Amino acid sequence: MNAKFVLICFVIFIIGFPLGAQFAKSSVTSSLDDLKPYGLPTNPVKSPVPVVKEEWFLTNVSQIIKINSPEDIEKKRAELIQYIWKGDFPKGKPPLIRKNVELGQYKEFVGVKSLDIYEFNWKSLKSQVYHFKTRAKSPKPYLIIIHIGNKPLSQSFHLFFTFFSLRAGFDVLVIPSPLSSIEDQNLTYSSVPAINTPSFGYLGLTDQNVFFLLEDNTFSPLQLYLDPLALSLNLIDQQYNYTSYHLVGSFDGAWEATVYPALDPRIKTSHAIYPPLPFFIATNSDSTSLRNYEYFHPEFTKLANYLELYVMASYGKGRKHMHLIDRWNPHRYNEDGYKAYADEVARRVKTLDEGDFETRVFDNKQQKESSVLVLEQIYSDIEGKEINVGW
Amino acid sequence: MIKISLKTTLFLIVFFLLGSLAGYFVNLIFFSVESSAIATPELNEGNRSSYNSPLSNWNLTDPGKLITISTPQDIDVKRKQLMQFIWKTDHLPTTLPGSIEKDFVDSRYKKMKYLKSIDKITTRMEFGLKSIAYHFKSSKQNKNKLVIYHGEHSGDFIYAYALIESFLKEGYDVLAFAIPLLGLNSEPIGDTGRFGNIVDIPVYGILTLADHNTFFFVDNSTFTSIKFYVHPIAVALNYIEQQYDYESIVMTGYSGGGWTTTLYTALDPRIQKSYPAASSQPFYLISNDYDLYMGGDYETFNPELYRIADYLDLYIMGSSGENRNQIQILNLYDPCCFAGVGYKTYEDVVSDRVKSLGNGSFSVFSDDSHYEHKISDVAFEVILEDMERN
Repeated sequence: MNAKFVLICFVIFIIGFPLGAQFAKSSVTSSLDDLKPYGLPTNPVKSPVPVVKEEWFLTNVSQIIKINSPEDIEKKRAELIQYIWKGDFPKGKPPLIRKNVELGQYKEFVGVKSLDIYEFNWKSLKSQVYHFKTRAKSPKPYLIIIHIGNKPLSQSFHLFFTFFSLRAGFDVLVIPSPLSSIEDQNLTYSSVPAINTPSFGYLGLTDQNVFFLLEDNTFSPLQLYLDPLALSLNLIDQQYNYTSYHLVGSFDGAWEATVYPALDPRIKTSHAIYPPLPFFIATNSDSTSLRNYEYFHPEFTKLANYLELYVMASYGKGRKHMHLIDRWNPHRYNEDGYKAYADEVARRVKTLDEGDFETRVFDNKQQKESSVLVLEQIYSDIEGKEINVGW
Repeated sequence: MIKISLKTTLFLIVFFLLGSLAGYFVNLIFFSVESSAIATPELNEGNRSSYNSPLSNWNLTDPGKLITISTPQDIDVKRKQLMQFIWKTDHLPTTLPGSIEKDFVDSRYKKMKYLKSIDKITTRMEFGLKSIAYHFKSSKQNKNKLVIYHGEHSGDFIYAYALIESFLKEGYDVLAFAIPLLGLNSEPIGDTGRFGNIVDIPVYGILTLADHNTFFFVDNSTFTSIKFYVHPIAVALNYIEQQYDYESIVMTGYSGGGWTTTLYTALDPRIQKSYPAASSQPFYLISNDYDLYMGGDYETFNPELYRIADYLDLYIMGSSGENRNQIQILNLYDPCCFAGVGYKTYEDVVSDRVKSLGNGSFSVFSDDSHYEHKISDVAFEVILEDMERN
């Protein structure tokens, strides 16, 4: 072999190298491995023994659920809508619609075909809703809506759930809470959205509790939590032929997954992972979760307490509201609190003849396995038959 | 046309495949994680470049326009509005504490130097809440001045042991309070010792008053829980006025205790000098600061309270009046709250407005001597020096 031949072989080798590398890359991203079965959004470092507090059972749950008929639901719904929107349920559509936007960081996922973004602006606060379309050859006729709360989409469970659902053939609508978009936008000190108010000056929107200072008789910032989904569904109702809508939310997003279906019967099934708990549980816990404006909003929750919101979210023909609880979540000491109310809420929904309320508790110390079980539960409820995702 | 033998062709194919295989495995081994990972948008954790420069949004607000007090009469009106909100009357309470235990023995203070005695003052309030205050008497030659120290969210004012002892050493008596639900003001009923009084609210069920935010659920048109923060001080002072003849009364506290100092001194002109530390700033500053939460607590963002009087008005109300003044202490490098130089946006404005009202003064002491959330030794010296000044 002469030197020339060796050189040619070397060149051929070099040409082959990037092609092999590219193949490796594509094979990795199209395998199931690109979606790790991320755990439920929690930090499973410590697993304290779940605690049952006797104070949880002091409340007569039946007495504080003031819903006894479908008319009661209609009345409460109207009161809540009036409080939030100071008028009717919104009929508008997203003010800015961007079709087929660049997939960017999401193009790595084989399940996604295209992405539309719906943009919302309230003064200097921006919010974006992502409408992902599945690449599946036989897409399912359902729309899954995942409310990601205050965490960005990149938060592991949300990402896992979104893209696994796309791969499974569902289109997915991803909704953030009003201030989570700030994190997504990676704002700095010089670009914190600020709102001029006559009483307090320019208020920066960095913390949910600033909304308390913006609330008055003409405006409730709760609207900012619910408008993106309401307006997006108004648009989707017109432009798509989904047979049903299914809402899922975890932690902060579970608030929306409870409140929104209580207000809008277009949502067929709703799954609240770590649901917002009634105050007689939260205030009787070692680690209270009385933190965010929207959760402990006193005026709103006086119109309908959480037990009533569960009933409202469950009620309706073919509707279902489900609580998914991980008993071993180290950040919540009150996950056994459901025992104080779950049966009564389910019973009350049954008396209304239509709808279903159910609680499922994962007593599994393996967080990753729990997340797959959550998926199977949600898909099964959506499709009305048992689904095994085959993980 | 170049002639290539079969053998040569096979060689070339083999090398091409070897190259591809090498590329495949190198990528798989070294870059597989990266290729499948999703870029996580970096969250802005608020890495403020400097505590010595203002944040850009801070300068958007003209604090002068937020102040609603222009005359001494405005203070009277505002004070009455606040009293109406808190006590549902237009004056401070005239009642006395529920019980006084003279020469109370608390073994935890047995070794406190310069302590002559403690009187325990108990005030009972709505929903079974109670406030326990200690009136510490100095064994030193008494200066006949009273320091009100208000504790913060750590709970018991025993955490201010050294500070209380320092005041006693200087010959000042100290009247110490804990914040509602915490320290001596909590009544443990559960197995963790954290739990407070149980209340039955028809809409919500049986709640436990252990977290300040629970106060939102018991408030209604006839009652506000803001009362829990200030009522015990007012009635204890009624008792003190009746039984003692202090030349002057000053008030201090940091964090939640400083917040109470700010509100209480705005309400009650019996407090002449006040030193709220590391405890509040106007919302246009804190809401624009990524390093801060607005506060996880009811009292720090209760909209009804601040619609009557925002912080700038409260500063003026606490500073204005004959022989009155307020020095707000802010830790420049406080890891908790109100760090930086935001105070520069309002210090002169508030100070000028207080001067224009005739009596009193307001200033800010920016403490750059440490990196903690506390009243430092340096700040203590500032307080002492001011207290000695007539």
